[in-house]
Amino acid sequence: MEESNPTGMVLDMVFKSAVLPLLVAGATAFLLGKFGPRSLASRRDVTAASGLLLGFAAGFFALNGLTEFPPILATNWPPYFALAALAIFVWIKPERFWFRFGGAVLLVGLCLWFNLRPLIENSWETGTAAMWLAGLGSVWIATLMIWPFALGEDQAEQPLFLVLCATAASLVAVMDGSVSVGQSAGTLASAAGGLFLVRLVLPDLRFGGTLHAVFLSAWGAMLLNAQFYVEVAPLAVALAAAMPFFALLMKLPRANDWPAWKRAALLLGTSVIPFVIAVVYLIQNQNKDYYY
Amino acid sequence: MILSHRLKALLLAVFAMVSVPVVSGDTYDIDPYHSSVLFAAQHFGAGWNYGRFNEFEGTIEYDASNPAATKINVTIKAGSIDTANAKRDKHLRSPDFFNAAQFPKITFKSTKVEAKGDVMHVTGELTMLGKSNPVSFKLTKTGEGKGMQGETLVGFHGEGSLKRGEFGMNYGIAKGALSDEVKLVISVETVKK
Repeated sequence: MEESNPTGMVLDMVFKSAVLPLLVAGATAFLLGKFGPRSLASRRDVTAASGLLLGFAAGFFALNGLTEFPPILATNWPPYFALAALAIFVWIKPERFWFRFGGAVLLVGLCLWFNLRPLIENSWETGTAAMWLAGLGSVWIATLMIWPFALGEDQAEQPLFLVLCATAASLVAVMDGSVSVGQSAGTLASAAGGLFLVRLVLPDLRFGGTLHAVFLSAWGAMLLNAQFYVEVAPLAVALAAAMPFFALLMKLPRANDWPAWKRAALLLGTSVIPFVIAVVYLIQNQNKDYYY
Repeated sequence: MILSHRLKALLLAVFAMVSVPVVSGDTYDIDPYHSSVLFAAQHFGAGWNYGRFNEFEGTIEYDASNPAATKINVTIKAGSIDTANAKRDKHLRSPDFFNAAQFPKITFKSTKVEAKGDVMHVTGELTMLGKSNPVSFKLTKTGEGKGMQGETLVGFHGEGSLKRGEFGMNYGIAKGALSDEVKLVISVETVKK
């Protein structure tokens, strides 16, 4: 057995879930944006989406190991969902509404089926499964449709919104049951942080429907894992799941004319509210037993 | 003549029935109220922390005259894990460890038993987290008795260990937070069917 090393354990976690995804996402987006093929120029959100995917996948596999494919554990699907999102949304050209809707339905269908398959096949009655799939699918597809419409492509503060949403998914999972699921969501937050940093030096970097699909597929799967496999309190999961809908505030009259800091303050300042409520709720209802 | 052939056949059949030894023994149900399935893992290389599963069922086919023919089938409900700490139990049920929502059952089926007196060396297939691996342990018959209803009771005690990483349960192994090796202690009382 390896000699116990608590400090090393924490540093290892921090590197894999925070530093590595940020570096990989940032380096990928920067290199593709700066030196990538010209064909990417017309689809510049693909650059950011590729960075997010690779950064997230690097952290995820560093934490959980490069496991078998298809994954045996339902919780190991998120990087593949993100990859599917990139492939589908590059293929369908998400600028057109109905193409985007079709892509969202296909993507969410795939994610729900593979993520919840053990429960659909072994635990749920048909009616229960239909209810969950319809409800979750509707919300998930709605986020995929709302984001490109509400957030647009050139808002520099977008990655910070992604960081906040992913941090919420991470924290509710860590606080209420599973460190590994929470860390995996943390890698998504760090990868989004990498995009924010690159946007500071590459103002041309765009954040469109492809990036939103990559992020929301992985992020949604993390919340499914928290709800169905980690036993996180449903209220905390619901509050975290409500956060993407605050993007609609960007459609307030003249909001697009505001300076970035003002838009960021509105978006982050309001969407953090359900996050804070979830954290307070979990702290108040937390079992105080200590066992680490 | 015909009657004679039929008589011979009947006599041969009767002879065969009484002279061939019974291959399988009696079947005993595990009595969960008088049985324990315990496990232990080492915390930061120091103490061995014990826990138990509160819900399990199974059968043991056992023939005292031929212990090597023993067959064991056990199913454990992963979600019934109990370490006397509710927060830790929730963590143990999560995907970090037993992933009880996706894999609600842990099963063991013996494949080979070698016996020396009342001590049996049992090898079987343990299925956990969707993976099956061979596991071996020592099982000893601890005694026999009669229950309140006159039923026949037989007790067994087993000890062994496994590497949880072989089942994909890797959380905490790196940096030695929680040992890869998990000790198993199984003490069951069985009731003859």
